[in-house]
Amino acid sequence: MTARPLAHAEKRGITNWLQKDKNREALAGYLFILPTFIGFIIFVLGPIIAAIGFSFTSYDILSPPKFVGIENYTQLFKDMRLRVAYGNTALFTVLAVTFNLGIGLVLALLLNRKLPSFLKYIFRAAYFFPVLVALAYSSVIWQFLYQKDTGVINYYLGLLRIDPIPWLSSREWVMPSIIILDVWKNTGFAMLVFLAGLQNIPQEYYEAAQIDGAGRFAIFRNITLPLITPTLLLNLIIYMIGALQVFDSIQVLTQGGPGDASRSVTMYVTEVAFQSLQMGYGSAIAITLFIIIMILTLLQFRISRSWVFYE
Amino acid sequence: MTKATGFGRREFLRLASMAGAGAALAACAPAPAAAPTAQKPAEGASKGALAADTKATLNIFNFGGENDKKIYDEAYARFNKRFPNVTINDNFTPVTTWSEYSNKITTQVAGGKAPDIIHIAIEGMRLLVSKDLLLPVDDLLNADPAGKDLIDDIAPQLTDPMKVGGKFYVVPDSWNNMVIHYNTKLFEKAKIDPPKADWTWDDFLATAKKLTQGEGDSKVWGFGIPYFNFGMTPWWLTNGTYQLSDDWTQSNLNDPKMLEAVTFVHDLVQVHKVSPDVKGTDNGALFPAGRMAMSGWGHWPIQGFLKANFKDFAVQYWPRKAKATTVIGIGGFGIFKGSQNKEVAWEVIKELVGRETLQASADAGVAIPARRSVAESKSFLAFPPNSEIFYGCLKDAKPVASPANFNELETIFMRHMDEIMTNAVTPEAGLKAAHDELSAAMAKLKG
Repeated sequence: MTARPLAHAEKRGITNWLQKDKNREALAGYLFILPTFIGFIIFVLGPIIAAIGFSFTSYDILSPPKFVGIENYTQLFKDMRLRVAYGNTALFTVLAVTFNLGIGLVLALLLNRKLPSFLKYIFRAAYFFPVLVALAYSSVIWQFLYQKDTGVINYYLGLLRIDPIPWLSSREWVMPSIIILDVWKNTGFAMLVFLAGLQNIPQEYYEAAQIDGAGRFAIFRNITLPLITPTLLLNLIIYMIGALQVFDSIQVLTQGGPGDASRSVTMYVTEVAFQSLQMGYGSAIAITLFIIIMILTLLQFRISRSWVFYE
Repeated sequence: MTKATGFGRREFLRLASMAGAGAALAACAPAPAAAPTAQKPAEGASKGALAADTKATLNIFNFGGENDKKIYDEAYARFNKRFPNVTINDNFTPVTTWSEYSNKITTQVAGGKAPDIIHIAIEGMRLLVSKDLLLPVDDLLNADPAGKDLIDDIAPQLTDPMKVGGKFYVVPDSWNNMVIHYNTKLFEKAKIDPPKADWTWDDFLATAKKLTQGEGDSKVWGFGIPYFNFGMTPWWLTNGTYQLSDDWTQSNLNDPKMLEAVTFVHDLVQVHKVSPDVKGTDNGALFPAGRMAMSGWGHWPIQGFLKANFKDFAVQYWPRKAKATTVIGIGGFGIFKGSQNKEVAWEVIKELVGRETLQASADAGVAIPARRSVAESKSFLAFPPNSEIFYGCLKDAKPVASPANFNELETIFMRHMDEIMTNAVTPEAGLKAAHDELSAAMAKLKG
């Protein structure tokens, strides 16, 4: 008896609510973010929660997980291979971020100069091209370049009477080899972001500085650099997170070797979880990496207040 | 595996292990949805011939090279002529994107669809068996009038390793081994006789030294080390040793014969300089380019060499020290225990390992067909010279050690071999560290 009038009243209430512009806008906004939000819950939040749960278990994928308390976390401190992997990852992060951003900025500055349009397009495409090439393919070429006894680089070094460099087969050289590949592969993206940042700087600032007699370096230091700090922060965070999660550059070139000399934390997680079938311990390592990335990212944002300049 | 030659042994192993892990995931998933008018579940034994109007839907986890998909599709078409109401969903993953195989399995599992049939190698089999996921096919085989013809045509050296506890789990369709491939033109140029079937390590080393010539871009290397676990195994076996004990339960890396064999391989690069540095070397490119006189493969690179118009090579048995032997790896099809269509699955497997399918596979020339009648056919033996050694090696060959933790074994061993081969540690120190780590892993397996 009462169901129909109640439903009618509810419908009228919703109609009234939607008649307000503010509410309609809010609804449209929520609908727009809904797919992303659902994707985030399914593909990011869900797995994170699952990994946290697994990290307190002994779980070999095949049998039901067994609760082991903080055993996996105590194992982290005894695991010497994990220490090596974290050391490699830290070194890679510092070097890869520095070189990717440094070279990307230099390339962007060069391309931001007055050049014929067709040259600009050619250079931009050339520097960005490696970003588009799948590492699985380019790594074959890089292995061919790097090989100690049959590689192209050592062949030319030999012509200069330089002894062959064990690019992939020595603990000392393997990380520089990976960094070179990573910078070749990824600096183009940093360049593109920097270029976008540079092109957003109003030309009037440069004209005013030139009228005031400022030199090139002064203009760069006092106008360009401060005004691209938001772009720099964006690149810094993207590249730092990417470097801390590095997997493919190393996997395709050295598979973490020789030994563990180039093994990253994510590679180690994969090995532990999927090859040794210790999903619980692998999850615990992944959680530590997640926490480290989160802390470093928050720190970046915090510190950025002192050096990032927003117009 | 070599980049130049398509589907290789190493990819096969990776796929097998991934298949094992993926299939294991399947165990945690809900049972597969029933087929529209599914066949009544059978508990292993076949009670007789399958009715031609049987209705069922079968899911298969499968992988292969570029030619294999066509061969499998033709096999399913033949099957569907006999059983038109059976729908076969072949979740085929091309090996060129081998990681996709794992992803597909995971996706299937996430969707609650465990397969009925899995294409797997010996390396991944025991993991599934240890978790009670595979169905022993003995009853189906014994109840089938065509079973005897099938099993009699496959050498026991290929079927026995697919048994665990006396039960037969995976019907072999193909296998591979390791033999020496040598460039006949480079041998002629160096005025060296082709290697004999009973050649020794000393003969091999002397030959490799003579063949190593030139400098710079004209340098020819005597031997390219097949730098992967399966590829190096013949060195251990021909020295009368192995990484694991015979029952595959304990590390045997502390055997002095292992040290001797590993040192021999190490010295090929670091002392005798007859082999290039193992990291990043592409034997599959250097060998047909005439920059490498010998290397080790099974049958899998041959079609790639021929496609590259390289025919100046022949094959020979692995050189021996203590004994004449080599390693074999076997692939085949098994049935999941949870399958609702076991008898139909058995019929499909019979088609997949039937003569017609294996002959087509042999003509494509990647792996060695499991059926003797096909492996000894004229078309299979036509090239390269001495091809009869592929099936001929079986009498002395040993299956690759495949405990349930095969992935761990391979990872541990190759990580330490990396350090040994690049002179980061001595063979003694490297093997000792590997032995300690592998012993712990094997102890954990015993549990």
